[in-house]
This record gives sequence, C-alpha cells and structure tokens, in this order.
Amino acid sequence: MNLKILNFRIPSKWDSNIREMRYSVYLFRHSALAVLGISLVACVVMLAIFAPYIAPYGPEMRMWNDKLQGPSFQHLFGTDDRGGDIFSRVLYGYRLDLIMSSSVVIIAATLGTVLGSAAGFIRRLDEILMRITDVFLSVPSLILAMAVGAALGRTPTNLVIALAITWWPIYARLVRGQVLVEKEKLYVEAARASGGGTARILFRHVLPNSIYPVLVNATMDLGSVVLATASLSFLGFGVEPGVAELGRMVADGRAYVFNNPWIVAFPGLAILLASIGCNLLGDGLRDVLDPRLRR
Amino acid sequence: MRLKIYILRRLLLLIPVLLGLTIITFTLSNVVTDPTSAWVTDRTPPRVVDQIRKAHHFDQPIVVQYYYYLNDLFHGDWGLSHSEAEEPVLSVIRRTFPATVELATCATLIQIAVGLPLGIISAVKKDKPIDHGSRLLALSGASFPVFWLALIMQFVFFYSLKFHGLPYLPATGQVDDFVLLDNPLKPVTGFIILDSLLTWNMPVFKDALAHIILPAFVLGFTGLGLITRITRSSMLEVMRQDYVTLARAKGLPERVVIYKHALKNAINPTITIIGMSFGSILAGAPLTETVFSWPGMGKWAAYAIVSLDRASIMGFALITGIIFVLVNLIVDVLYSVVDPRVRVGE
Repeated sequence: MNLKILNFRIPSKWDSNIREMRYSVYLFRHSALAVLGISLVACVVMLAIFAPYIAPYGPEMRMWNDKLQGPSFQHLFGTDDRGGDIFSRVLYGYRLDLIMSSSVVIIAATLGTVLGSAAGFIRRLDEILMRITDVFLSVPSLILAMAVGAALGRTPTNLVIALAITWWPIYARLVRGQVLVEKEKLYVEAARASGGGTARILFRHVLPNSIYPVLVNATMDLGSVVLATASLSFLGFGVEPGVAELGRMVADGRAYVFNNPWIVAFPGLAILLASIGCNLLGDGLRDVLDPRLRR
Repeated sequence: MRLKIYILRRLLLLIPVLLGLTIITFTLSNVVTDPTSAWVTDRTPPRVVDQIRKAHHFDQPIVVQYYYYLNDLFHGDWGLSHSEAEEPVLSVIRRTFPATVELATCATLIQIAVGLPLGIISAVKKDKPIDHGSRLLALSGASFPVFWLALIMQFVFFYSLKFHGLPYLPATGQVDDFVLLDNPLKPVTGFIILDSLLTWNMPVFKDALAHIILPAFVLGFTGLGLITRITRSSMLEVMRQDYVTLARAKGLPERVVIYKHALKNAINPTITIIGMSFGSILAGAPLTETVFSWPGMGKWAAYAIVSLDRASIMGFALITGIIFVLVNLIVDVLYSVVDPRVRVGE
C-alpha cells in the first residue's frame, strides 16, 4: 500500500491564493509586452537608485570648456550649454522625477482610498464626497494642478502636493465603487452576523478585497504622473532652471533644439522610456489581474 | 421635447459643479495665498495695506469674501492679468480664445480623420500588422511627452527640411506677419482660418493652414490612439452580431456592411472618447502653444506661470473647466441624436 497517500496536509487558506498568484505570474511572463514593460521600469529604477555610482559626472558639474559638445565616448549624450554632462544629468533627473511621481501616486492613492471607502461605507458622506470629485474631475487635472501649484508656490514639494490634490478623485471613485460592491457580499454579512463592528468589517474584510484595482490603477497611473510631473516642470513649476530634472532639462535646452538637438532629445527620450515602461507594465498587470480579460 | 428637458436639466446640474469650481479657485487665490499680494510690495506702508484690505473686503469673514468674489466673477471682473500689462483677465481670454479654439478644433478634426478610419481598419484586419501598428500608436500617444514631441516635430519638419532645401512647415506662430501685411484680413469672426476663407483671402488661408498643421497634430496625438482603440473594440463587438452576418449573407458588399451597418452602431463609444480627449487637448494647450508660440490661451497661461500671475492662472482654470463641462454636455446630447436607442433623461 502506498503510504505516501497518508502524507497529506490540510490545505491552508493560502493555497488557493498561491495557486492564483502562480497562474498570474505565468500569464504575465508569457506576455512579451508586459515583460518588456517591467524590464524597462526595472532598468529606470535601477538607474535612478544607482545614479551616483553610474554617472561619470555630477548633476551640477559644469565643464565650461566642453559646452555644447555632441555625443561622444567622453560624454555619452553630449553636453549642454553650461557644460553639464547630459548622461549624468538624465540619471539624476530620473531620481528626482521618480521620487516626485511615486510620491504623487502614493499620496493620491492613500487619500483616495481613505475618502473612497468612507464614501462607500457612510451614506451621509457619499453624496458630498462624490459631488466634490465631480468638481475636481470637471477640469483637466494638469490645469487644476497648474492652479494649485501657482497658489502654493514653485517648489518640488508643492508640485507633488498640487498633482496629488488633483489626482485623488480618480482613486476615490474607484475604491467607492469597489467598496459598494464588496459591502453587499455574503461574507460581509457573515462578519456582521458574528458581531464585527463597522471598523473591523471595513479594515479586515472589505478593504483588503477592494485594494487590487487600486494597485493596478496606481501602476498604470505612474506613467501619466511621470508625464504630468515633467510637463509641469517644463512649464516652470517644481524646480528652478538649471536643476537636473527631465522636464526642466528639455525646457532649458529649447533654445538649442535646432543646432544642438541632443540637449533636448535625450532627456525627452528618457521621459518617454519611463512612461512607456509604466504603461506597458500597467496594461500587462490589468490583463493578468482582471479575471474578465483572461481565460 | 424630451431632449429639451434633458438639456435643461443637465444645464441646471452644471450649476453646482461650476460653483464648486469657483470655490476651488476662490480657496486657492484668497485663502491659501495672501490675496493682497497683487497690490502690495515690500515698500507698501502698513496703513495702505489696511486700506487695500478694506477696499477689497479682505477684512470680512470668508463667506462674505466668497460672495464678493462671485459677484466680481459675474460682473466680468476676473482680476487683472499681471503678465499681460495689467489687462483684465476676461479681455485677455476674449483676445486669445479664438486662436486656441481654432487649434483645438483642428486637433480634434485630425483625431477623427485619422483615428476613426484607423480604428475601423484595425478591427477589420484584426491581429494583422496594421492592428499592431494602431496598438503601438495608442501606446505612444499615452506615453509621449507633448512638449518634447512638439520640439522634435519642429526639428524634423521645420529645421531639417529647410536645411536640406526641401519644402518645410513653419515652426512658430499662427500666420506669417508679412503675408498678413500684403493681404490684409478683414476680421469677421476672429478665427483666422475661417475669416480668410469667408473673405476669400487665399494667401492668408494657405499660410494659416500651413502654420496649424504641426501644433494641431501634436495636440491631437495624445488622444489619437485612444480613439483608435475604442473604435476598434466597439467595431469588433458589433461585427460579431447577427445582423452583420445577415447583411453579409444577403450579399451586400463588405464596404456597405462595415460603413453602413456596423459603424453606425459602433460609433457611440467613440463619440464619448472624443469628448473626453478634448480634456487632454485643453490640458496640452499650454505645452503645445508655448513651444509653437501659438497666440492662444495656453501660451498666456504658461507665461503667467513663469511670472507668478495668479489671477490669470485661476481665470484660465475656470474658463477651461467651463469649456470642458460644456463639451461633455454636447457630447452626451450628440449621443442620443446619433443613436436613437439611447433614450435621454431616463
């Protein structure tokens, strides 16, 4: 008799989750574009983190003898009008841009989740909060961020605040819808029947089940937030002229675009790669995690 | 009749949204920041500061201040544009509005002219190279930094072509001043392209058209891919239905099946997206207009940022919000006109 059959273990509640996750990873790995996206994002993040070790020159270093040089082995992406090495500046620019855009997404997603779940759970708040999001969504977010940024002042922190203030309504709507659906499900009723209070039900049961779309949305959003951050800096928000920030670098190089195109070309290309990476990754995640789109 | 009631109700529903918008701009310009900063400098004596506060009701409670703010807005006093030599904000908007509308309209037309056919073709030729191409286009539309694309376009279609002695597109401005000098334009509506066409001023018309191509393309590019993808997916959905099969079985030519039977039922989501992408066009205006020196509202707003001209930026945000909300209303109404199945007001 095969004794191995007795060597079973009671399936834990995580088993199905793990199987689900493995399947997701399998699907994800077999989507070429998603893999391309995650590798791009990983590259960009690595470059940003290890910028001080990779970059041959400092971000604010001026080599006045070498100004306006084309790409060469000494200066991979060439130099700008003040003799700054563009390759090094792009790496440090990634740093600043990624820090700013990920803080925007984190703040907006947190704020949106808190307010959205409050709206979904407390009926009296619902109407007010949704009308507020209506107002926020009635103006293109970049323009609203311009107004907020103009009122607050032109520092990097204020740029993050301005974008976060205009970005949270999307998350609030998403979470509210999700909470409204989850709230009616049987397991919530069971939790309530066994004596769980509102806070416990919200934090232990409803929120963990509503958080997936927020994560997917945050990844997809990161791409557009990177673009928005760079756009606002291009317009003059956030950082002072001359700082190694990708949008600012394009703005500073505008006067040289015809005779020294590399000054503008490389920082813009860097923004493009980062946002394409985020968008591909987000698309891939959505395809994999949204059960309606797979199988 | 029902449509009229629906439009009326939607217009009424706009009021709270627009009031909310004014609350935001009021908070930003009067509560978050010191509203007197427009008049006060370092050398203003404190006594005068008090007088200014009194004269503009800044010493009153917030609610009263808001009342005065709204009152001013309704009476056409949107503040003075510091960056435009203290011209009233509303008059700057009136002056720059036509150029932006012209640009936005052309951008939308380009989106429709390219996006719609491309979406239909990629639905018909699903998973063929052209379908992948349209997917790539949608992806790059969402990923390209608008300002960078504008600069690259200038480099390629103005500088490089001119450098090699080929016919090129002008890089900046709305119309060449010399062309305008030789062929004076009688203002009829304020829109240069429309005016030159109405007065049959061909040289100006041609020149203005050449000037608008690059900025309009750049501005429309962001939403182009999205329109293509939405058209594609709704076309695919419709083409699966029985009546399309029937139309084919009847022996109708494929062209008729696609354009007469399928497209009419697939067009609605596209209309919504065109309305929504108008938002991205408005948001892209400051970026595109700055790069192309387009004399519109966006360039004014971008310049206002550099000179920290708050009244102008608030005015710009307010007018953009109003335009965006109205465009969305028009789109919703169009929806029911195009597709009688959609009953409005229910």
